[in-house]
Amino acid sequence: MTGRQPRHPGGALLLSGLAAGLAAVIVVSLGSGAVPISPGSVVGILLDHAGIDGGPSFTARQDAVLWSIRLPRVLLGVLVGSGLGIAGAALQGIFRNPLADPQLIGISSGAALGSAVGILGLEALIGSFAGPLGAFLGGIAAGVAVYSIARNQGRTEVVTLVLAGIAVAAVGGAGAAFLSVVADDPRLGSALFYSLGSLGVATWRLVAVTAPVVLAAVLLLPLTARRLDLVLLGEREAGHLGVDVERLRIEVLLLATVAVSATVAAAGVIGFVGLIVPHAIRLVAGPGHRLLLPASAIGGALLVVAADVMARTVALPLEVPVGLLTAIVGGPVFLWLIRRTRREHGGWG
Amino acid sequence: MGMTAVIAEGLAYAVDGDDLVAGVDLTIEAGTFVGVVGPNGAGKTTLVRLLSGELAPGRGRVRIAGHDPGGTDPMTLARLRAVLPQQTVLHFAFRCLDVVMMGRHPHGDGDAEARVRAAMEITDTTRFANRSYPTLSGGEQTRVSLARVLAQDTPVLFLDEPTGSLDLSHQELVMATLHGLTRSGSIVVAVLHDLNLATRFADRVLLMDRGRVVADGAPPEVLTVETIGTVYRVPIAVVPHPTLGYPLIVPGEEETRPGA
Repeated sequence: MTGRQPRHPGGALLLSGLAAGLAAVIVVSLGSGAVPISPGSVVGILLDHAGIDGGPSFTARQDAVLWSIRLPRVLLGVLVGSGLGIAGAALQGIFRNPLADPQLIGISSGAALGSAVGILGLEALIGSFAGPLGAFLGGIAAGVAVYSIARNQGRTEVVTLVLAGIAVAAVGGAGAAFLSVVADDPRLGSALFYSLGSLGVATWRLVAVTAPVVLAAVLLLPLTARRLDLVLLGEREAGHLGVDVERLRIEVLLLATVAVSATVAAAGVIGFVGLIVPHAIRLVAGPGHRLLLPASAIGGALLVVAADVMARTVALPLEVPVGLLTAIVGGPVFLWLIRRTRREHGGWG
Repeated sequence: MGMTAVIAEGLAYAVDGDDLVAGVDLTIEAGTFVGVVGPNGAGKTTLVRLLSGELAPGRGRVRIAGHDPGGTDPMTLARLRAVLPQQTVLHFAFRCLDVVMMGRHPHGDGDAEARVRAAMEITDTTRFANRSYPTLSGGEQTRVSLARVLAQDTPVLFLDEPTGSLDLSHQELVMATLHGLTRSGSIVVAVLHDLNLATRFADRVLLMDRGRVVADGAPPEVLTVETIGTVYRVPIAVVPHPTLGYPLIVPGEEETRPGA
């Protein structure tokens, strides 16, 4: 590791632009809903909780709504989005496959089923970590199953990976929804939660359980960036250049699955974030992972928080699942991506 | 014997009971350009993959500068030997400069720029620096990959068909560059299909057939009318170059010429 800055000249600009966009969406999200709060009051409330007086004024009701309902929700959105964004980017790198989205290759649905099983079977024994633990085991099982099916004679077959992912995702998603309906247990999410996700369950406690796991992945995955670049050259080439590809594969798969599982345990299955965010970043910044990984984390947070604002406000007083919005945006983007890839280098065959 | 030697002893590798490589014993001294030749399926690529440590031998052993590649940490190995595979397919739009800089990964150093620039100049790829690798032609991609291999700056280089997709002038350029490296002590082991390039540039030729090295020595001793005729099963003639005098290997004979 040379410690050089990302060579892409616009790298710092891109990261700070995304961060500014995220900050803006956060302020909008904190202010939006049945109790409107102006951006100035949002800042005033945040300053007040930081122990700084004299910021813009606000009411006690606004304070209560923002601090106990909206802020944990927005923070959970940031965690979920950044976890999904960076996991998608890293999985696409290690599989050398632009389709390796956590949902498309079955990890999210495996985690959903594992989370439901963990809550029903283990929560009485080990408490509130049962859901995330079950999600992690389910996600790992799904990832390993899909990957080992797609792996043939040292190559990962793109079509097989996606087909196996569809099958595993179907089983995981259906299994989680089945348990949700049959067990009729208030601790489980609804069937809709497991298929489209929601940030409506956010509490400070859930943020506290999710944050260390997602942050660990977000901080550790960038350490694999240079080696992931070399893997894109080819697994043989990466080996010739000194990368222990087998070890890297385990590191990335573990970290990405940890991140995805934590997001699924907290907010259900929110699709397309891990697919469209890294692709959008690559269009702007190129494929190098030193910029792609952190930018995908920030970009994922931006997308999920923005989608959640819309989910809460497009159909007031109703709230639509946040995964509906990421899918409505993500589906067309994905189609465009398929066409563009075919035009440029003959598709993914 | 210098420290940077490549040694194989009783090397063998089989898949499903078929010997892809069998009974290979070699000692390659520093400063040697070795051309590996032979018909398709002779085991050339497998031999190079075994020697470079990419494949673990079924039997026998390999040493690169005294190191057992299978038991050496990948980064140390990557500072000893570089490998050019037949083709590097890249679906992600890295700039060529980024690809060549990847060659510096094993060194993790700060003075990479000069070496990278030199490697791109030698391979005539400087003008592709900011082009996206997937947009280059096959031969251009090979040259960029070769620049990456040269930037790795190792005493031993294994190259699988480095000239396969190159035009005439770049074949000469690449072979002369590799030859130059061996004059300053490097070992180059290159799979070559063009026997004339092997004759002109290699110090030593390994002629392979069905997994075995059937002839090993200086090009004029190995690439004779008899050995080539036997291994490739085509009649050939060896004639002197009309102006430069070195031997040329020319396939065909009068009665097999189409339309004759």
